[in-house]
Amino acid sequence: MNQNEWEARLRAANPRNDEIVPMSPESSLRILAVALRANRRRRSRFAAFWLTTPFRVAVGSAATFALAYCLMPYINVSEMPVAERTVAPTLAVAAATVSPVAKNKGTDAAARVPKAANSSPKPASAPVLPSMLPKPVAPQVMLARSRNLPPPAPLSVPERGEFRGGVATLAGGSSAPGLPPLRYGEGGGGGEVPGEGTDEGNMFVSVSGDSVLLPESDDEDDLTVTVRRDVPDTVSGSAEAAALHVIPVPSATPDPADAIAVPVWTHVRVETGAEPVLTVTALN
Amino acid sequence: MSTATSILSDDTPSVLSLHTCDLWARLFGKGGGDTVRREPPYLALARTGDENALAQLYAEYKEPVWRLCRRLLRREADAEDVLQTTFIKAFCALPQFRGDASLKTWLFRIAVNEAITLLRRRDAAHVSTTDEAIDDMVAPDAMGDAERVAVRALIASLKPDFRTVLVLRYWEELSYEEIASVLSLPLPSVKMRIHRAKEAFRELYLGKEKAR
Repeated sequence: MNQNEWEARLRAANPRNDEIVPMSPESSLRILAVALRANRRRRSRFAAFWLTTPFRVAVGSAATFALAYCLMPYINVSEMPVAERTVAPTLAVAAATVSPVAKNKGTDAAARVPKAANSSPKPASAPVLPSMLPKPVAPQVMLARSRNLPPPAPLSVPERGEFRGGVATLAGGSSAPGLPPLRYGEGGGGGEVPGEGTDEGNMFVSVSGDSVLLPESDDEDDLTVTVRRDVPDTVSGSAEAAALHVIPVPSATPDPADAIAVPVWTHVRVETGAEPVLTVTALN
Repeated sequence: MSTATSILSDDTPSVLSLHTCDLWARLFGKGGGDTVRREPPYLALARTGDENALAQLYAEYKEPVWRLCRRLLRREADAEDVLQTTFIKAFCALPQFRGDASLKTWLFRIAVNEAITLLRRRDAAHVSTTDEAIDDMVAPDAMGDAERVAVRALIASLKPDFRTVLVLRYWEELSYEEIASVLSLPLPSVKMRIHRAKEAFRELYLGKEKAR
C-alpha cells in the first residue's frame, strides 16, 4: 500500500460537512452572547483602567509622600551609609629616570638583547616623598585643650613681662615684665597638655601672637618667639601640635601706629597645677 | 506588463487593490490568494467593538470553526467549549489582529490551540477518547461503512499534534502553507509532522488489522 492509498484512506474517512451534526441554534446564540459579554466587560475594564489612571497615580504619589513625611523624624542622616571617598594618589618625583636607549648608547645590540631578556621586570616602587618639601603653613592661633577639666580662668598678662636672656615666664595671673601680652581663650584642637608630674591638663588655652609687644631689648629688629606645647607622643594627634610653629605678629604694640611687624617664634609650655603656667621663649 | 500598466493608470483604490490581488495571484499562484486578502467589510467596525459587526463575524465563521472543532474533538460538549473560548478570545484580541493571515486562518489558529490544550489536558488525565462518543461526530443516518468509522477512531487515538495535522490536511483540505500559518510552524516542520503522523497512523492501522 503506497502513500497515495494511505492518503486516500484518510480522506475517505473525512466526515462531510453535511454529515457533521450542526450546532443547535440555542447553543449558537448562547456562545455569541457569552463572547459579546466578555468583550463588553473587557472594554469597560480597559476604559476604566485608563480613566482612573491619573487618580491612581495621584493617590499613589500622595501616599508615598505622606509615608515619607511621617517617617522623617525617624530618619537619622548620620546613620546613613556614606560612600567612602577615594583618596587621590599623591605624585612625587622619586628619582630621575634614565632612558634605557640613552643608557645603552654606544653598546652593541647583540649585548643589549640578552641583557634585556634576562632582566626581570621590576615592580613599580612607591614614590618617596622628598624631605625637602616645604613645611606646612602654621596657624596663627595655637590651641591646647584638656578634655576632662573645665576651662581655666583667662590669664592676665602684664604689659611688660620678665625677660631674662630672651626667656619670659608667665604664671597665671602673675606679671611677667618684658613679655608681650598674650591673649588666652577657648579653642578647639590639640591634645592633652602635660603638667608637672601629671598628665592631666587644665588648659584651655588659645595663644595669639598678633598683639605681642616687643620686649625691651637692645636689638629690636627681629623678635622670634618659639611656641611649643609639650604634648606626649602617646596622645593621639599630638605630633603636629608639638611641632614648632611660626606665628607672625602683624601688630606688636597695642597702638597700631607703633606696630612693628616682626616674625615671631614662640615657645609656649603649658603646665597644669593650681594655675596654668605659660612659658614663652623669645629668641632674637 | 499590460496588467501593470492598467494598475498604474487606474485611479480608483478599490479597483487598484483588486488588480493587485490578481497580479499577485498570477505571479505567486495559489499562495498569492492567501497573501493578499480582501478583508470583510465589517472587520474595521468589529475591531472597534461594534457588536453588530462582531455578530456578523460570528455568523460567518461559526460554522467552519464548529466543523473543525468537531473533527478535532468529536465530542459535542468539548467542541462547544472550544468554540466559545475561540470567539471570546477572538473578540478580545481583534484590535490586535494585524491581518498577516486571513481571518479564517486566525480563528483556526485559536481554535486549534484551544483544542490541542484540551486534548493534552485530557491525555494527562488519562481519559480515553478513542471509544467515547465516536458516533457523535456525524449524524446517525450518515454513518459510513465500518472502514471509515475505524479510520476515524484510529485518528482520534493519535497524539494531539498528529491528529491536528491530519485533520487540517486531509479533512479540512488546507495547504501546507495554511497549516504552517495555523500552527505557527515553519513549512518543513509541517511536512515532517504530517509525514510522521501518517507513519503513526499506518502503524496503528496495520496493528489493528493484525489484531483482527
